[in-house]
Amino acid sequence: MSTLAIQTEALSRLYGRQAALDNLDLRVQAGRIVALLGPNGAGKTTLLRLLAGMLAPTAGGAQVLGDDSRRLSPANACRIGVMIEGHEPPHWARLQWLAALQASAARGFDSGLAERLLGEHHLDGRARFGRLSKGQRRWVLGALALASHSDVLLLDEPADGLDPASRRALYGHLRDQVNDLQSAVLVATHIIDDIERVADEVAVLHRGRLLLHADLEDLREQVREVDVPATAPLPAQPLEVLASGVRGDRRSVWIRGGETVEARIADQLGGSTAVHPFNLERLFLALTSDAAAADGRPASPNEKEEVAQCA
Amino acid sequence: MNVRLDHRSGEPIYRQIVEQVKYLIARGDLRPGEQLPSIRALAAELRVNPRTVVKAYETLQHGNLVVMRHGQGVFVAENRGAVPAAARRKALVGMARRLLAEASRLGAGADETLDVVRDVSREMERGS
Repeated sequence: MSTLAIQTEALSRLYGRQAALDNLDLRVQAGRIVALLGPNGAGKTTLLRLLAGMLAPTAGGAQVLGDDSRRLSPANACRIGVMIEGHEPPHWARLQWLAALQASAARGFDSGLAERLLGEHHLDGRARFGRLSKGQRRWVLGALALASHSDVLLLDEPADGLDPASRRALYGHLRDQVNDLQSAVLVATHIIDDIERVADEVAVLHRGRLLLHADLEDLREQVREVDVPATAPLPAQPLEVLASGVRGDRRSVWIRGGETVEARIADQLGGSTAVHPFNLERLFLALTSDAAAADGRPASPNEKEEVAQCA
Repeated sequence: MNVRLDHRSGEPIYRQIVEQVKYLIARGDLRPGEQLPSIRALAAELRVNPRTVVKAYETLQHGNLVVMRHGQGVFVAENRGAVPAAARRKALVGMARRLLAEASRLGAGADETLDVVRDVSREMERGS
């Protein structure tokens, strides 16, 4: 159940002198869907390309299905499904030809599922890829990736350009597949609303760094957003500050404090503190706002420094 | 099973399942001894990770609301008799301690508290 499908160690990639990925340690277990969130340029696509073996790391490394990502065995390469920008099929290709090609590349390819998924969008096998709308192309690529029954799926904005119903349908099929096959899935996206319905874990990338990687159910249970005066000291142990942001004379603080987080907040900050439920989008924005991470570090790793600033 | 999830409410999904199953049991929509969907089936229906359903069922079992029988499935607990005497005593001792501690904060002794418990019990019997 808890087999590691993906494991990176100090994974780094430079473009020139610019670090696209900086010292990344990430583990993904089989049977889990991980939402890879980050603003544009955070390093999401670079990470997926590194894991797929399309790009070599500058330092550190990654293991996918037990293989070094630079030297994937042919057998394991067939077990990795990829949907990454810039790897689109030629426009003249007919859908049935694409399905046949995919079937020859992926051993577990489920032609019946591919047909069903294309049928959901009334796509004819004889249609040419280039004649489809942007959303239809996405759906075709998503359908082929799902039908491949891969053990690892690396998806870059798989729902981009799809209408809301199709986005939900795509992620619904993804969940079915993960439950049935125990695939490990990494979905890079910045549409939080959709992925929140299906993700098991969230990994937040910002400027090449992994700021947060946590189980989404744990976050819902253990994290609260509180509203305190900007001059108040930040909460201390056993409460952990994940992020904080000042607006005027008020400060929003995202606090992690175990299953009894609300009681602990009341203990430390007083019962009248305004406590809000966990909201992924708000935490994401706080973590990745320029003010919070201007020097490339998480919002408030050093409480003393912050408190000194406030005083 | 009629369970509706709100992924944006901030409430853990497993707890939403727990609360709604509790409600279905309290309303009598789920009867004592009735079988609940299997972990796999409910995960597929709600499109959530099976681990989330496991956690929900375990929480319900911990609260003596359901019984998980290995290899057979998950059933709504038969009322009362389902809790073994030792566990029942342990739970009651905990409740009594909390009640007496709260009562003493109000300045009430054990005798006064017990009198109230008896009165309330009589009222509830008459009411039902």
